Order: sequence, then C-alpha cells, then structure tokens
Amino acid sequence: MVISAFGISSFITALLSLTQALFIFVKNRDLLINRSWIKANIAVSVWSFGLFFVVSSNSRQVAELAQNILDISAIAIPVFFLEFVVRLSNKEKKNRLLVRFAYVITILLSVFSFSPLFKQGVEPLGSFQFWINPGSLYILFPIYFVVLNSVSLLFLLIHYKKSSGVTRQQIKYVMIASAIGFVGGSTNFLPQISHLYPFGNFLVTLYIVIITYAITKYRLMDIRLVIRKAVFYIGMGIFVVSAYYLVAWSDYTSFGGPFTLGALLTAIVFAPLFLAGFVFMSKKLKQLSNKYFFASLYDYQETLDKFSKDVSSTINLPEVANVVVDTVQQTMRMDNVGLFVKNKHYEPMKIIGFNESNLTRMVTNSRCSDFISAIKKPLVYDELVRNAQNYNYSEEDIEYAKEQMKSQDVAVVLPLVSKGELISCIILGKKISRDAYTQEDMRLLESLANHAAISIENARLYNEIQGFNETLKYKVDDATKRLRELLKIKSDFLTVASHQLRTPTSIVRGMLSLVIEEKDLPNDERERFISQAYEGINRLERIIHELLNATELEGKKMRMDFKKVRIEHIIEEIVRGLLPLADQLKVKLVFDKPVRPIPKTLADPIKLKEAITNIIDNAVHYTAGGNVNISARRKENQIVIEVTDNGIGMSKNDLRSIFTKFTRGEGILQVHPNGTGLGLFIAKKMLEAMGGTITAESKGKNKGSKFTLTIPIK
Amino acid sequence: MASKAGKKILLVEDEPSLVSMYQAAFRNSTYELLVATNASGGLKLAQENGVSLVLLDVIIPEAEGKVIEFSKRVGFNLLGRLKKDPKTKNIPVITLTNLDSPEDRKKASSLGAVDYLIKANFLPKEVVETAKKVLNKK
Repeated sequence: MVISAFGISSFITALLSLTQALFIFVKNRDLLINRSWIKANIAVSVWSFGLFFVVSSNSRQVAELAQNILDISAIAIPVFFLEFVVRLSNKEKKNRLLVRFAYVITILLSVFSFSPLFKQGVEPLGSFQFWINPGSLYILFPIYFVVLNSVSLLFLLIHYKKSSGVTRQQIKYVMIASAIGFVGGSTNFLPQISHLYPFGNFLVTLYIVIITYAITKYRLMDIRLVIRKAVFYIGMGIFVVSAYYLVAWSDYTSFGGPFTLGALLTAIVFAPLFLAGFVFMSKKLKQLSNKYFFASLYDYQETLDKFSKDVSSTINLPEVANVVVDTVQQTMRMDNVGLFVKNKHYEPMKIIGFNESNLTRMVTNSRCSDFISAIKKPLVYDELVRNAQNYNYSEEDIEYAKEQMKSQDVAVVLPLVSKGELISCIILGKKISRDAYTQEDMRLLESLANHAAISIENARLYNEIQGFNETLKYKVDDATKRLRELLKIKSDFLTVASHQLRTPTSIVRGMLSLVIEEKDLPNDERERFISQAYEGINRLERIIHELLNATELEGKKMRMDFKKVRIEHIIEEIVRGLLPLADQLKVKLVFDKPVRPIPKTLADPIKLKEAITNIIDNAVHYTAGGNVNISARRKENQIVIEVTDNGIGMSKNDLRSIFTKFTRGEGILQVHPNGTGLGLFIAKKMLEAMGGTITAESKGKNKGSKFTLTIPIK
Repeated sequence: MASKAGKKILLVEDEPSLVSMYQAAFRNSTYELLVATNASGGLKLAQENGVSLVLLDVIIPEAEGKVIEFSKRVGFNLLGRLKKDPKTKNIPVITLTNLDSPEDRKKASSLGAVDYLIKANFLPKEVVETAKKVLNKK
C-alpha cells in the first residue's frame, strides 16, 4: 500500500459519504428524496473507495477490480443525482421519461465499461500506483457525465429562481455542493484525457460538508436532529476521554501511577471537579451547537416545565391562551402567532402580529375550518411544499392549504386535540431568523400543543360550567317568576272564591239570626227572611257546584249522558231562567228563534244547559243596561249559537286567557259578584267533551263581546 | 220604635238581601240607617246628610247600572274620596266586606277605616254593637 494525499482525500470522501448515507438511512429513509440521495451518496462512496484502492494498491489485480467497480459507480452518480434533483424540485412526474432514459444510458455505459473500447486495464501513472488506461471511446463517459450533471444543475438553478424561503436555501446549498463536487470529481478525468494531475479530488470532500450543513441548518432531508445529537455526544466523548487521559498522565508524572495514595487523594478532589466540568461542558456544547448549527435557543425540558407551571396557575381561558401564545412565540422566536378556540366555530383568542381580521376570516371560512378540524398532525408549509405525500390529502386540498397558508404567511398550523377532538389551533408565522422549523421545534410544539390542549379544554369546561350556572340561574329565576305568578293567581282566586262563598253565607247566617233573635219581627218579614236565606243557600250550592266541577274537569274525561235534544228548547229554558236577573240588571235579553227548526242532536242535556247558561249568564252580568242577543242556526252538520252583547267587552289579553281555569292578570278579578271565575272554563270543557267548540271575540274594552258556540249534529 | 237621636249611619251595600237584613237589625237601634247601593250615591248621601258613621262594602258598583268588577275595589276608592273631602273626612268608616286578605285589611286601615268587619263572621246585631261602640268613643 502506498499512502498519498490523493488516496487519503479519496478515503475521507468515501467514509463521509457512507456515514451521511447511513445517517439519512437510519433517520428518515421513507422520504423518496432521501432515498435518491442515499443512492447518490453510496455511489460517491464506492467510487471514492475505488479510487483509493486504485492509486494505493500494490497489486494490479486489486487495482483492476477497484477500477471496474469505481467506473460503474461513477457512471451511476449522475443518474442518481438527477433523480434527487427532480424530486427536490417536485418535477418528478414531468421528467419521468428523462430519468428513465438516463437510467438506460447508465446501464448501457456500465456494460460498455467492461469493453476494451472503454478501458484497457490499469497502468502505473506518476505518483499513483495505478490509473486507468482509457480505450478509444472512453471519452463518451466524461461527455455523458458532464452533460447529465449540467442538466441536473440547470434544473436546480431554475428551481432555485422560482422558490423562496427555506426551499431556496436548501437548493442553494445543494447547488453549491454539487457544483463543487462535480467540478472536483471531473478533474479525475484529466489524467487519462490530458495527462494533468486530478487536483480537484479534494473538493469532493467539501460537497459532503456543505450538504451536511444544509441538512442541519435548513432541515434538508429532515434529519438534522440526529446530527445535532451526534455532535453533542462526540463532543462529550472527547471531553470524557481527554479528562481520563489528563488524569492518567498527571497520576503517572506526579505520583508514579494511578493506584498510589497521592493519586487517590487527588481523585477525591478531582471527581467533583470532573462532574462540574461535565455539566458545564454539556451546557456549553449545547449552546455552541445551537449557535453555529441550530437556530433553536431553548431547552426542551425547561420550556415544557415552565409552560406547565405557568399554564396550571390559571383556569381562565384568555389567560391560558396568553401563556400558550407567549411560550410559543418566545421559544420559536417569531413575530406572528395566533390562537383560535373552537366552539361551534373558530373564535380568535389571541393574535399577535398577524392581521387579525384577515387571519380570522381565513380560519373561519368554512372550507378552511373543515380542513383545520381534520388535521391530526401539525401542518408545516415547507413540508406541504416539499413532501406533500407525507400528508394524506388530495392534491386539490394540498394546493388549497398551500395557497391559504401563503396568503397569510403562515408557516405552521398546530392542532390542539383533546379526547380525539380538535378543540383549538395555533397558527404560527415564520421565525424572525427565517429559519425553518426543525424537527426538534416540531417535537416541542407538539408537546406544548398536548399540554395546552388539556389546559384549554379545562378552561373551556370551566367556562361552560359557568355558562351553565348562568343559564341555570336564569331558568331558576324564570321558574320562580312563574311560580310567583301562579301563587298570585292562586291567591287572587282564593280571594274571589272565599268572597263568593262568604256572601251567601253571610246572608243565610244573618237572616236566620234575625229570625231567631228578633222576637218582635213581623210575620211577613220573617217569611221573607227565611226565603232569602233559602235563596242564599241555593246560591252557595251553585258556587260549590262550580268549584267542584272545575276541579273535577281538570285532566279527567267527563262522564256524558247522551240524549236526543232540541237546542231551541234548551235555549228558551235558559233565557226564561235568566230573565229575572236580566230585569234586575236592566238587560234586554233576547233569543232570536230560528225560522226553520234545527234538527235534534245527541248531547248531554244537563251539561249542555249548564255550558250555555254559563255563557249567557256571563254576558248578562257584564252588560248592565245593555242588550244580550242569542241566535242559533244550522251550518252544515253543526249547530252554531252566537251570544252577542254590547257590554264591557274584553282586552286582547283577556281574550287570550278567559277560558283558562283561573284567568290570569287583569282578567282574573273581573268575575261578577255571583260567579267564581270558572264559568267559561267549565263551559268550554263541557262543550269540547261533546265535540263542540267555543270562541270569543271583542273589539276591545267597552265594545261588547261575541261568544260563538258550536255543537255537532249527531 | 225608639226615639231617633238624630245620628245617621250610612250603609253602602249593593246586595239587596243584605240591605234588608241590616235595615232590620238597625230598626231597634237609636240610629237612622241611610242606604246607598253604589259609590256615587254613597258619596252624595255622606256629603249632604250629616252622617256620623259609614258602613262600607268594598265590592260595589261605581254608579247605578254599572258592572261590578273585582279588580276595582270601588269601595276603597269611595273611602279615599270620603277622606279627602273636608266635609266628610272626619266621619268614621267601618269596612263591612267579605274580602279577607291581609292586603285588603292593610289597604282599608291605610285609607283611614276605623274597623274591618267580615260580613260572614259578624251577625247583624254584632255589626250594630260595633257601630254603637265607634260612635260612643267619638
């Protein structure tokens, strides 16, 4: 083996390429774009190993084998790179044919590489142990290599011009790296073409470094966290190993060995120092790697702890929203952030930086709302642009989401899910640094989202309970008010009822006391008093009857005793009975008998008489000095009875409630002195039990009333 | 018939049976019983006849032929008018009614009635005795 600078640079390139390929493979091999990069990387690695063996090996056989392998892998590099570029710029579909064509050429060239026209083995060349001895058509390979790589670079350039933000940065680095790599790699053609030294081979190492930088800084291939961890652990490893050697060295030089008394005593002093140093180093390394590689400046656990502490100190929804938004804003360092809470719709809780009304309009428009509601994982704009296949949406939806997010400069939509249901979302703008959101960022954001979801849900429930409390209080107030009204009605009714019961009682009691106690009462007066007492008892009985009737009618089916009746006869009988009262109140009570007799119908005569009596009696009582007219006619298969008066009439309010049991409000106490306020209620119930109806109308107070009764002819 | 001492008592009552009952009860007393069956008639009698005491029903019609309404305690209205009129304000008024709610009692006393009698609870002769007591106190 001969070690040369060229050999070493090749070896380093090979190792680095392989390591990078492994890293990407371990971390995120599912991404198609990553797979093509892994392929390209492996090809570069194999090619570089081949170069190393060709220039370093003493054995011609090894060198020839290595040359064969390196040729095939070098031929494969352009097509893998083209595939990577096409995928990176999202032009895969359009350029499928081109890629396939390149694959065909690659296979042909690979086969061709074994032909003597391509190479005639290897020969020692200058400082190299061996180098390729090209055939007459070897030149086809460099031409293919340069042309295809130029096409790829052109693709990158076009895509670079069209893109923005992180994508643009990523493409920039890929472009610089591959340009340097290809120019450097192409110098390896120089010896066999123009006998020049392949001076650019060192540059190939550089491309790996640049790509790695892009991976870490710009989330290329989404694996930067792994590298960050690698940097951290390697750094810590170096620290521990150096500390060990430092101690071992000082033990040997000062005490003669690690197991001497002095060395052990020093170890007691050194151990805490080492621990302190370890903690210090880990912190410094984190800071350093953050400073030079990563934009994030937060400590993951610390951020979460502080957030939990802050957010658990309140149950008030706006305050929870404040804590969430502030934490997100401070850790991610961005200008624009907004939090929406979903009730029926999305409602903005706190919005910083964004144009509030535009953002709210966007989030609350129905398509956007529906889209957000279905989000299961954070929606990252850059991801949507580069790796839309990671999301399970239709192309149309993705286009819509991209368009909407772009319109408000939204970088991330973070769903807050509680019990499987989206309850809130956080809208994040771009970072101040314009850096992309790293995987670690997303991990932190998702943890924050989980914590925040619980807190927001709690606050929301608390709010809801408060809402319930208020509704409940309102309902209780309402019910109390209604109860008070009912109590008032009850008390009003009792006043009337007791007054109406007491009036005949006082007559009977007073009259009889006079008859018994006044010994010198003239006989005619004595008889008159007794007959008045008798009348009073009758009146009492009627009132008791009404009260009991009304109580009985409530909710029960009435027992009916149906007989054939002639309505005119019943009305005539009623009018005859009421004439004395009408005379007393100076009411002109008239029944306009129908010219043609109304056919007999099936009804309970006693109940029918009571119902109609109640209506007419009522009309007479409220029409002092006026007219009460009664008419009856047949209308189809119904008997229609109208009781019209020009008495005190009714207000609209009264009209609405006169048929209820204890009429409410202003109507309640309009019971005439001999009634109970139950007459109309009883009449209505009785008529309805016979299949009839009763309605009342009035043009207003003091404008008279008209009661219309119908009874079916059966 | 006992000699009339000139003291006149006004009964405002619309129920005819009750009117004849109280007339019979007061017949043997020393007082002359004037009767009004409505509020305006009652006010007129009280103003013009030098009445010494009023027995006042509460549920009465405002005037002849008017409908009686429970919601309008016309008797209380008349009581108010009597107490406002300088000619009648010093005449003691006993409320004679079948209403028995605390509100009605309060209303009567606040308007200046000296007593509140429930017709069903007081026999006619007890009403006469109460009237006598009130007049003697004066």
